[in-house]
Amino acid sequence: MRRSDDDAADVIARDAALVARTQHGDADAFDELVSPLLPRALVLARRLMEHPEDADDLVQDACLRALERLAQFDTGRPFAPWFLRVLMNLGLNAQQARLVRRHEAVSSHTIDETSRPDAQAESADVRERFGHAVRHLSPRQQQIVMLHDADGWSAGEIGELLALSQPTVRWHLHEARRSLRAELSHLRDGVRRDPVEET
Amino acid sequence: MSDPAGHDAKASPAGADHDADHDPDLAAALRAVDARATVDEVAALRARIRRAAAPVLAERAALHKVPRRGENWLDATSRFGRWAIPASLAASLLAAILLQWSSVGSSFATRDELYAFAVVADTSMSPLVTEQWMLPTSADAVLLEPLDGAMAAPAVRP
Repeated sequence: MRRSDDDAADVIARDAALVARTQHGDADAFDELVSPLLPRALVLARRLMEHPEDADDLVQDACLRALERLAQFDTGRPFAPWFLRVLMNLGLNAQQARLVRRHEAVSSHTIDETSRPDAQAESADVRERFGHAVRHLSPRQQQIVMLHDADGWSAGEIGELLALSQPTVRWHLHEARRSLRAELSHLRDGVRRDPVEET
Repeated sequence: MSDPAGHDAKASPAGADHDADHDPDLAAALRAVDARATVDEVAALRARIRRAAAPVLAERAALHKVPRRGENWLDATSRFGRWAIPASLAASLLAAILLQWSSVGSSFATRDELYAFAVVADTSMSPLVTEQWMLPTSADAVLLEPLDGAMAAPAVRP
């Protein structure tokens, strides 16, 4: 516990130093501040945006917005949640502005199947249909279930990120899981039954 | 830390909270359909963000730039020179005009030859005086000299 407190304090001190250098125009400090967050930011952005190019634009916009508003950042807290909140707010605003509803999967070439054994375990058909079911959740439920179950965030952190209370997050999580579990069960049953039905 | 795809189970300090409803199969299926980013994509985006942020950062660096001692002197001199050179030219010109005006005025008021001429021309004065030249000897005395060239004693200027 003490170790994790020390680690958190180190992260906060490191972030505060990098923020101070960035405010003085140090490009290396800015790079050091945001580059470790880019993989996560890109995944979040791709969940929010329909096209990968829009997701890249969103991450870039979030970085520039964060740079612009760096004076508002509380240096007594870690930088990552603040930055991801900036990104999430920009993404949700863009969704509302464009009335974008994702109907298609983010292009399949971004899915690196060889790197994930669990992905190989799922058949392509089940995965595609399950992905379709995920995209038919509300944007909020989609974000919550992905952040919680795929990324391992706590309900409190998701609540902070999306400006929701923890009970609300848990309710959305429950609803999303119920819907997806039913869909997954249905799909797996269908895959198991298909060979029998064919004979 | 996070994998190249951006999934990061330790992203939060607390991690996922205790969750009796957690379903590992569902979590695996969600990760399988999630949009991921390759290392190359992240690197390209990083370079792009650096380029986009460069003008903003350069502007901030210029605002917070602390001048070195040598630069201070040079900057101050160059700033000073912007107005000091025209000002000194104008001052020189003004001084020249004032000097010129001053020498013209003094030619009527203080030159001794003209003062002497005025005394000699005054007809109310004694004929003795009008028969002599008055010549300046110092700032407050004149020399009365007969017209035939004999020297007279200095007289105090009125």
